[in-house]
Amino acid sequence: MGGLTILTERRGQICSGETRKGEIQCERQSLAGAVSQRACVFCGSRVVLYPIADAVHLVHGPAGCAAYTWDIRGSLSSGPELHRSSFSTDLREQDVIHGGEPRLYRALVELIREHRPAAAFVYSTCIVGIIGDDVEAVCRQVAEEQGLPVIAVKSEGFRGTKKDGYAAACDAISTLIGRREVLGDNARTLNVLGEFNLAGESWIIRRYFEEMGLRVQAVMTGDGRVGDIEGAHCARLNVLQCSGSMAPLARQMRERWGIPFIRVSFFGLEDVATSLRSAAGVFADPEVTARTEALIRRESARVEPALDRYKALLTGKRAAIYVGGAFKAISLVKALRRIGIETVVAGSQTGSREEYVELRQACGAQTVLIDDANPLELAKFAVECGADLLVGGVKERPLAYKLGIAFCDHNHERKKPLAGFEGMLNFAKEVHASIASPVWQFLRRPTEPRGTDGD
Amino acid sequence: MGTEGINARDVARNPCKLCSPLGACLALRGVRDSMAVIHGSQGCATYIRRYLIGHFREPVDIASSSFSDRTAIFGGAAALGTALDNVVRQYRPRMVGVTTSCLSETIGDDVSLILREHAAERSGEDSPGLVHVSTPSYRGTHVDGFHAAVTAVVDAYARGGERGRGVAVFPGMVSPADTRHLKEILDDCGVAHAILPDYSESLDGGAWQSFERIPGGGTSLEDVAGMGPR
Repeated sequence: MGGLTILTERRGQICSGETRKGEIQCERQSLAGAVSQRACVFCGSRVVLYPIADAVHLVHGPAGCAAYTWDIRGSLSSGPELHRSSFSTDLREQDVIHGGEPRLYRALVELIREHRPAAAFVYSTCIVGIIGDDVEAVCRQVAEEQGLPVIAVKSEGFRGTKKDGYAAACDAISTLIGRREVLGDNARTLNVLGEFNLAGESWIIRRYFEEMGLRVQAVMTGDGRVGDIEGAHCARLNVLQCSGSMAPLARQMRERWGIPFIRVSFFGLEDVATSLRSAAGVFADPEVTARTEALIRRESARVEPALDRYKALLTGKRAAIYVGGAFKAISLVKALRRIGIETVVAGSQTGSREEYVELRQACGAQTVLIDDANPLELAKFAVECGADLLVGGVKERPLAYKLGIAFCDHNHERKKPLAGFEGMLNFAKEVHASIASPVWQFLRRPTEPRGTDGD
Repeated sequence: MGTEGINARDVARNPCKLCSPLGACLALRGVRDSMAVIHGSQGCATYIRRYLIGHFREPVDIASSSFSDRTAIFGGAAALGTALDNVVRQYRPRMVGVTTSCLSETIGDDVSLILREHAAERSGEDSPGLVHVSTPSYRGTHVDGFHAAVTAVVDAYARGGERGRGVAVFPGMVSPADTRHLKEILDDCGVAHAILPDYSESLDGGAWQSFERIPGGGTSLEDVAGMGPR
């Protein structure tokens, strides 16, 4: 779609055509007016902490910020579901003028009395940063009076990008760690970081590790419990998925508690197997290794024949990927290749330079890479590169359908688990169901924008 | 309950209300060839997009002036100018509605002045009309934002038309299906009408024949111009 032009300031963040070989610019503030798909600092903090199910999550700000993140992620809990409620101080004009601290205090006390949570998180929004409420002082006071951790999350929306919100969330979690000792033998204990239990994925991963003879102390934060996180320092290893969101915490835990971490991904057979093996490798225990190999053998054998069938049906199709973190995009490229699909466009909201280098290696030289894309860029490259499938999140879904392109949600709104061996099979099923849908024969794929030549 | 001295009003629990910029953006989607810019943090625009997209299952593009901490301290005029320029370059709208947020309202940006100065600097034929909608999120709800946007568009464009030529209809916040039904009734009665806003197509459309930068449909600015007595 030549009729769609790319903003000059955005060109460095896109590797296409002649600039395909070049280095991509990333980790920049979003360009005003570009219609970035990113949210803000507050969003970053909120999505990372929200799956902690036995804590009160109080948004200190106007009702909107709370409403837009209300039960946003579909993170499942095996017990309490306090995280699924939307609590806010619902600041009004008078609070903005006179200060929101008294209301925050009363709101916290009320919620703690009502729900008896294991901890409370208080999220600062833009307005709180501007009027200068001392949120930490209120949290300290309530913590002392009520006898539970009350943690201020410094997530004012304008303080940076979504990634800075992840860091603020990591700081908040960090204040919990080390408050409780886990008795007994912790020699084979690990934590899983950056796993949010969408559609119950944490349970699949937990089951794998348990079968390998390892104990999962805390999943951060999927199906999370404050008590588990408080004892997370007793683990011997951190496995870090979704590196964008939790890398700061993994590094903090390495420095403070001497816990090493490895980067893993549970998407796609290849990456699941590699991740389980490298986790097992750290424990250097022949029994763990043997159990791990048996698990990989059994689970692979269970799904490989079905994947081969999907591959036969999907070979030659092309995909565009746009997800939050670039590390996930790398796994997706490999997972799609397993079922015969080549990736022609790959992008992320918050990828780092190293991740883009790795993504380029995974994709090959021809793929268009985009950092912090907007809908027009996604549409342009998806159409120009002849994508048959878009893998993204809720904001990308209708765009794909309007363009006559199949879609797979690999974000908050997935309903079936896509992690692990069985998750790969679900992924293949979902991709095939959308691509093979008979509806596409009734649509004409637009090639140019309305009102331009060639329309 | 054990909540002596505590006012239930201090905590909003699962409230079914959203913030005023969302209502304004919804109304602006019903004005033909218009774009919305939220003057605030990137998150305001993205969250409101996410909410509207999830609800209507249609693409909804909303731009942001994408505040940083520097913008919050030194003022948002430059960021808003950049946002407007980029929106015009990418979307070629005939009108841009600029809705504010808690952030830009509280730091005291004079958005009307910024828009007047921006329009004066960019006075070309392609320049869209700029409409300011004041929507601090801590005042009112999405319903107030919706009406604020409708009022702002009327204030900016209505010049008045001949008496007896038709009716101006302000249906309030109703669904695309209801708007469509209302239009059918008015058509059946043979009443010439201008409905503001009309997102019956832009938020409930079919497959695209060509790529739609701004989804088709909506009240035309000409129709708004004809509203009211001359």
